[in-house]
This record gives sequence, C-alpha cells and structure tokens, in this order.
Amino acid sequence: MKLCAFSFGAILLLLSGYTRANHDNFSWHGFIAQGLTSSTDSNYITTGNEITTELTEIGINGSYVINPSLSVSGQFVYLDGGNRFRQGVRLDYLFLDWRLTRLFDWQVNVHLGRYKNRHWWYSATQDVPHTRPSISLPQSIYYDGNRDLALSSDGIALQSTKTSSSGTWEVRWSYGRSPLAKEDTKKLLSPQAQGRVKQDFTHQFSTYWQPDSMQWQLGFSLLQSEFTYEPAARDILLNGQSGIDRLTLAARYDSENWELTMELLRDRLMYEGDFTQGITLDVDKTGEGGYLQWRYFLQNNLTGLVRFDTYDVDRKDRHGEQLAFNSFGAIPEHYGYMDTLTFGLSWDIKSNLRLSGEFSRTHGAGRLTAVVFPDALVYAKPYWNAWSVQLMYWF
Amino acid sequence: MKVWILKAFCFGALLLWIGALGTGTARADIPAQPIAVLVNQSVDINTLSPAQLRMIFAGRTQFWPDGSRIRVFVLPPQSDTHQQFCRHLLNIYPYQLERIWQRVVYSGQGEAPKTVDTAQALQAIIAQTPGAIGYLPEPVQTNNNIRVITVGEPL
Repeated sequence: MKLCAFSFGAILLLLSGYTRANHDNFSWHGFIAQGLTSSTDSNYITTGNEITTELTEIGINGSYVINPSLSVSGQFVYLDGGNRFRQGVRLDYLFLDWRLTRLFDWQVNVHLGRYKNRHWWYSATQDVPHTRPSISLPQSIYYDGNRDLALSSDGIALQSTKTSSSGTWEVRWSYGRSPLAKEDTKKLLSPQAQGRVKQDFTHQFSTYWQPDSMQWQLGFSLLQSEFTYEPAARDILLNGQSGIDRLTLAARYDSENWELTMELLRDRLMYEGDFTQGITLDVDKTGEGGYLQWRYFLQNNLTGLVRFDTYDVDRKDRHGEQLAFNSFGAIPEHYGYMDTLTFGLSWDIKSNLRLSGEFSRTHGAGRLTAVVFPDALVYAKPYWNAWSVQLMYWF
Repeated sequence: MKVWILKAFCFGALLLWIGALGTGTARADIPAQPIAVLVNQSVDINTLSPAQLRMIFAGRTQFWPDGSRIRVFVLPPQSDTHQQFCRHLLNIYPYQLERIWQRVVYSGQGEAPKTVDTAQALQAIIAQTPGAIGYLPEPVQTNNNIRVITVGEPL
C-alpha cells in the first residue's frame, strides 16, 4: 500500500510542474510529506520505542467551476501515521459548492455532499501538513482517534461571510453523518467491541468575528452528535446508544512577529447500553480541555512554536482517582488526564518546501484511550515523550 | 500537577523571544510608498471599499458582479510593494493573507492569487487578462487595457 502511495506521490511530483497551466475552470493542487517519528514510553505513535518512517501524507485535490454559481471540489489523501491513524486512502471531501450570493460584501455558500468541517481553527485543513502549525495537532481538540469523524461528513453545510468597515463575521452550520471504519469503532468505543458504531447524525454550528483591525479573531462552536452500536454475532456489547455535546471557545491574536492561539473545549458524553451477563451501563461524563499556542516568526522563513495542551476526561475526576478505583486499579489514574507541552521549529526552505520538527513531553494518557470505555490497552507510562521530523512539499 | 508544564511553557516562550532578539527578527521598517490598485479594462468597477478589496485578495469573492471570474495577481510575498499593500490597503499582515489563501485552496473553496515576479510583468498580465486585478507602486502608466481604481468607502 505504502509503495503504491509513494509511486502515486512520485507521479504527482513529476506532474506538479504543470499545475500552473490550469485550465480556466479547472485547478488542482497537492502535497507530499514524509517524516521520521517515534514515541517513547508510550504506544501513541510507535510500539516499543522504535523510530519509524510511518509519517506519510500524500494528497491531491481539484476544483471545477461549472458556472458562477456552482463548482465541484474534492480531495483524496493517503495517510500513514503509525498507531495514530488507520493507514490507507481516504476521500476526504467531495462536494458541490453552490454560491447563493454574488455580492462583494456578503458571500453565502451551500455545500452538498462530503463537506468539510470548518468549525474549529484548523479543522478546514487539518489533513494538509503545511497548513498545520505543527506536525501533530493539540489532542484536546483535534483528537487523532477522531480524525476521520471530525474532518468531513456526508450531508449539507452552509457558510456565510459578511464583511464591512467594522469587521468580518462568519457563520457556519452543517448537518450530516460520517461513515466509520471498523477500526474507528475500536478507537471510539472500546478495543473489545466486535460490532460497528454508526453515526446517526452530527449537527454543528459556529460563528467567528474579526474586527477591522484584523488582529483579533474570536468565536465559538457547538456540536451535537448521536451514535448507535450494531453488535456482531458474538460480542460483549449487546446494544448501545451514545450522544456527544461539545462546546468550543476560540481566540487568536496576530501580531507583527508572533501569533497566539487558544481553543477551549467542553465535551459531554452520554452512553447507554447492555453488556452480556445482564450488565447495564449508563455513562454521563463531561471532559474539559484546551490549548494555548504561541508561534514566533523568528525569521521570514523560520517559525518557533510552544504549546501547552491539556485534557481531563471527566471534570469531576481530574486526577483519575475515581477511574482507577472503579476499575479496581486495572486502569491507572494517569488515563484520566493528559497534559502535553510541545516545542516545534519550522524552516521554509523554499516557498513550497518546509522542514518541520517537534518534541513533546506528556503527562497522562487520557487521549490515548477509547472515548466511551477507557481502556489501558494503549500502553503509556505516566510521563512519556514523542518527536517527529517531517519534510513537506506542496503545489 | 500542571505547574511544571506552565513553567516550561513560559521558559519556552522566553527562549523564543530571546531567539527572536538574537536573530534580529526580519521585519525591518519599510519606507512608505503609495500603491495603486489596477484592473483590466473589462472590469466594470471604479471604486472598492477596503473590506471589498480584502474579500477579493483573500479569495473569498471569486466573481465580479457581472458573473465573470476575478483573476488576482500579486507580487512575491517578500517584495516591499506586497508588504505595503497588505499592511496599508488590506490592513492585514502578509502571513495572515497567506494563511487565508492556504485555507481557501486546500479546503476546495477557490484559487489563491497568482504570483508574478516583477512589477512590469504584473502590469503586462493585468493588461492581457480579462477580469484581472492587481497592484503596483505609484506612479502607474495606464493604457487602453488597464485602469486604476479608487479604494475607499463609497460616497
């Protein structure tokens, strides 16, 4: 699979020289990124502290303008991120973009098909390496196990951008559902689950305001989603219904030489279901987290990053003591939270070639477990490290 | 539990700051230079507000009111003219504009402006391309194919 992806990437590299010769109504772009990565004292990225080349991202996207009101856009991505993601090819998005207005000051678009989630700071391009501030995104908000679910959904999205002398106001709404692979079920529910989780719907709304000075941007987003569990013939889970309510608050300040970004999150997770042997489970817990990120433009082509990211799985059990108690010690306390400090450096070698490196130290493993049933099967010591170096090319 | 992380964050931020001082961060003051916004003769617009200009150069508006495509041309990001144009006419830092372009292109929302190496080449391509818009340092030699438009709030 990886060999095929590299062959495809090599063809993309050869063709990238021709991208400037776009047809008037058709354009295409792409990216190829390869790196080295490792996690020590944790199986977050690699198992057994090994260093791996499983840090590959290859993508191609295209847009065709049918007329001033309609266009079609789509993107395929090949992804290999070690233990972080399901390895393979994905159709990240494919949607019909219908422009309802043709006013300079007010743009309204409707997206039909597999639309992209645009509700968080980095969600619109979280699949594109050079548009991210770091190789890995902060796990409190951009939880890797949730990547495909969060990136895009099949349904309808609406986006409005209104600008005036006082500032720019964006409103986004979407309703759809994401198809889930079997591996996603294990990451979301439990590694023990044999059946499939189906997302019934995801309903999202967000709004962002940027005053005319353009230095501040503030906003919030709301998410509501429901899932149903379809058990396998032999399964420990007989049925299940879960719901997630999520609120995020976001703020960014852009200065001449630096950028400060923050997102805060509150996640309420509800689950009702029956296990074998007549055990019923009723979960209702609220997680909280967020990150504060500072990027400094050291030179025109050199950017430094420092980020503090924190997440508590249950706001009533921030130190994980109850988690350990309830599982009779089978799940250690440090699976109840996760605090990460990241240092990164990016060097733009050319206008379309970047080398990025980062190191992170983490206390806890709250984002390494399945969301619904925390399970210590993803190994991590209370303190663990991760590092990555990645070369990115785009056109 | 989180005190060590906050301390380390502050230490990292301090290191970045010292690093920036040490490398003499490359945002030197650029001398003020009047900039003109130009369009191809086919464009039936005489005035744009600063907010409208920002919508166009940020790739958020891709069509003129008559339905024809807007073709945006810019000078290289490091050029003094581009830096001035971003700061004074768009009221935005060049890196913010680049961030917006990447978001537009890689989420299937449109095309980023085309970069042209020199002012002469930029003037020539605006003259040749219907629906084109760009900017140049003043004074600008206009001709039958190029017009200078006013940027300001409509009267």
